[in-house]
Amino acid sequence: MPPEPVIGIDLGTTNSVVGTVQGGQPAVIKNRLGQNLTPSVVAVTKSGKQLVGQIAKRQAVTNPEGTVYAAKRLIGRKYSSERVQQVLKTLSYPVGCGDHDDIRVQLDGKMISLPEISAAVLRELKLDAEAFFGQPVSKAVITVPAYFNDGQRQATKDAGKIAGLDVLRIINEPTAAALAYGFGKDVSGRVAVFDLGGGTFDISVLEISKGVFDVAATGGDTLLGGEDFDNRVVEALVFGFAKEHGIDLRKDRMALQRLKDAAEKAKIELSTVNETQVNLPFICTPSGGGSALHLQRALTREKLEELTEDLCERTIVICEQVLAEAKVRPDDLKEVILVGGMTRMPRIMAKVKNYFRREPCKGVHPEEVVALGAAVQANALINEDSRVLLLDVTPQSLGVAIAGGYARKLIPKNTTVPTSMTEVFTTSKDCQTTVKIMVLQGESEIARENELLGEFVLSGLREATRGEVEIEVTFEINSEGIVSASAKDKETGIKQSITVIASGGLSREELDQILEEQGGDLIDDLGSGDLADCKRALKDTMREVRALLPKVTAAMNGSDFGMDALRRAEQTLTQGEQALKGKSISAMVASTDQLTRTLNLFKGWLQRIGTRAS
Amino acid sequence: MAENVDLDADRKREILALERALDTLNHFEVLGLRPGASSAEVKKAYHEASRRYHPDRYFGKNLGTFRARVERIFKLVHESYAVLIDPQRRAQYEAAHPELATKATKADNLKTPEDAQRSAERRARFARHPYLTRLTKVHELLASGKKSLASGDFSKAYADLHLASQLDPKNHDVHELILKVRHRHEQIRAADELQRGQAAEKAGDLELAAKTYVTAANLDRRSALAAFKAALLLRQNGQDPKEARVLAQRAVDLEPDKADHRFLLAAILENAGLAKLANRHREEGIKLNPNHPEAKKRQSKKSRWPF
Repeated sequence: MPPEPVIGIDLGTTNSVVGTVQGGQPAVIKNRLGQNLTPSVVAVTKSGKQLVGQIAKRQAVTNPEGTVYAAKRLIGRKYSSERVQQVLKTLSYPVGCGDHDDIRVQLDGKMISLPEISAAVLRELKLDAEAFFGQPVSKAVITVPAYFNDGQRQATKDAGKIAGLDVLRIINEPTAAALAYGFGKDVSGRVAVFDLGGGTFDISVLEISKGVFDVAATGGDTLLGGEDFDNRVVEALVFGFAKEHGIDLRKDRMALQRLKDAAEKAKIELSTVNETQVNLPFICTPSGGGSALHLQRALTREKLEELTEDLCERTIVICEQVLAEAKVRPDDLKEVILVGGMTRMPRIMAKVKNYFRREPCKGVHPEEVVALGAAVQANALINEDSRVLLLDVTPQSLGVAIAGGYARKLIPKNTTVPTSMTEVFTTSKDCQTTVKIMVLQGESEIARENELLGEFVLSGLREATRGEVEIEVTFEINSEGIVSASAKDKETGIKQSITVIASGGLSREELDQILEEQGGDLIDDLGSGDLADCKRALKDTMREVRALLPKVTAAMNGSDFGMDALRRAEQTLTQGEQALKGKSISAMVASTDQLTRTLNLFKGWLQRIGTRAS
Repeated sequence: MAENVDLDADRKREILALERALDTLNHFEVLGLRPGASSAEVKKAYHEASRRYHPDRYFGKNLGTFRARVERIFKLVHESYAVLIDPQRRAQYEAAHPELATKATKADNLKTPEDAQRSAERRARFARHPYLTRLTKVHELLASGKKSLASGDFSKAYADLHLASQLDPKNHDVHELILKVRHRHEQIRAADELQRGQAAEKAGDLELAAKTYVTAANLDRRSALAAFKAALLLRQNGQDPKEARVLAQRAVDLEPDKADHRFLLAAILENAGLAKLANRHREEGIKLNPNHPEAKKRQSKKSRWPF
């Protein structure tokens, strides 16, 4: 039997791609519609049917409340955070707050966590891969923006788990791009990867040497991407419309969704032409009656650049910071690799060219390269003979909260993993017998501005004047990226430690529950669609038959012919139960057929008896 | 050592020994370098060591307690690299360990006998280190291979490099060089075969000659002569017309200006029923050398118009 195939998944904000390494070459796996890109859109229709990908995206305009897009911008974040509140203003689907300040999406009357939404996309990609290989696929490497924190990474991993994937590793998108760029070539030297995607911006500097990919520095902004460019265009359109008609289009979800689509389309068009038209007929009907209003506006490339100039500039500012951290000047670089659909925008290209003082590399496909790189890494992990080795870094600093509300960094950002670091702290008050160790992630000096990954208490310290008791704190990140922290009283040797399992918005119990529910109601071998439908039909028929059984038994009143029919009905019901447990569509369809026949028979009898009785 | 893990015995021994020695090694020794190594060497050694000791190399394997050992080794390797690659930290480290800094400047000019003794001890310890000994051995073999290569002794170079590649299969330098040597080696063998073929042809053993020519052509794919001779004899003997065609085509590709090659290919193509292609090559041949016997034959044939 051939070894189980492994896949790499680029789970993007707007589009997702799945790739694999076949015959020594990384390649994109087309989805079942024959496209390389699958929109990261999940929808539930009014009839309760779940849609994923292109079909979900296509119906977004008529079903704005039931269509979730750009879930990646919210995954693993806290509901109360300021940036989330900002993002929420631009969304057309209803969002609520979960039990632990996590974000939930309201779909079909249920509150659904974001890992579950992303899982729907991942499951779709998994099915595409299985259709491609003709055998089950479970091992995958998934990419995330380099600047994702621990919580966001964990949430992405949870999504993978829910989708039935064994997530070998979560790797950074720019790193993946570099892996795909350097794979199979004998490149040596430093390269920069400039990744401006649908929702996030990342920049990484890597040193490539004969298959070893050594990340020197990485940085970015998780809320800077194509969506922000679209929103600027939407704002301009809304503002213009308000000025003309005095109506705020953002209040109407359907109008907002149409505006978003039109803005994205216009933005893409302006990468190749200088002027385009935005035409949205019947965009709204004034509340006081009167004829419907239309939105019609010309948009030039110049105008788009003017609207988004600060966003373009921000990417370059971040580049400067990261290159400084890597101690690299633009001239030292061998190549600049552009990744992400947004890098097609001429203004961005010009900015990059100007800053790095060179033509960016044209050899990679900006939208597919990340998935290819993920596939390369998956292959490198599984395959012993692979020459590819990735030396990845921690994207953000790890530290502890210290007296006065400050943060003390133990493992600085851009440290190669696995790593560990030990530092000695002391008590800050007289007679202090306990210390609370708060594990923080982030760059701020102020403790509360960082992300709290976990906390624990070390107690039983000797009562002494402050500064006398010494506590040794050790942080460790293993090669899987899992953080653990321990604290030791140097005198007594008392030790406390935790393994930080960042909550991606879902608690362990919740995740287990979701996984369990799936076991009972698995949509495994066909994903959104047929299997679920068959199941529903079978269940409905069984319920109807069961409901009729007592009536029929009473009506038959012990006649031989009746008893025989009843026994057969029981048998078909047991068969139905079994079919429900399995995943075979044909068994379900057969059972449903049989039960329908029984049902018709019963109904006929009852009708006859009923007419006779009355 | 007795632990049942997915590692071979050599590897286990190497990891155990290195892990035990870690605490006594200085940053240079951890990377298998001599004091005073340049930044480029430090980087190269670090990447080389990462290839061996990064935990990802053992992904999904049952390593038992060896996983922690490998992680510890990698962490120290990285720590050593981080210190040595940063000019500031390296200066600090060398200031704190003057024996490493002085060695960098005056390696053999040690101040006191104690210094000399300590340095000798260190070097001896250094040499016992299994990973390092293996690395040194590979380096020695590589150097000797290069020397033999320069002096033209290709078979010795090949033997050395082959051994080196077995000791360290992932060493890129060895791999590249071995390809080069193999290529040269084959060229020489091809020349030998060619001579043998010519001798056999003279002696009249056409079968043997054809065989040796084919071998020569296969060994050295850039020799037009071997390909031509092989194709010619195959045709004369009436052997394997497909092979003959491939070889003749190769001869033409390698030396398109030789009329002989063109005519041979034309003849073979004609036999294979590809008259159009054959004619094209024949015309090229005539253009190249109108006085060629084949060309004349062709012309005389042409003038004899059939009634």
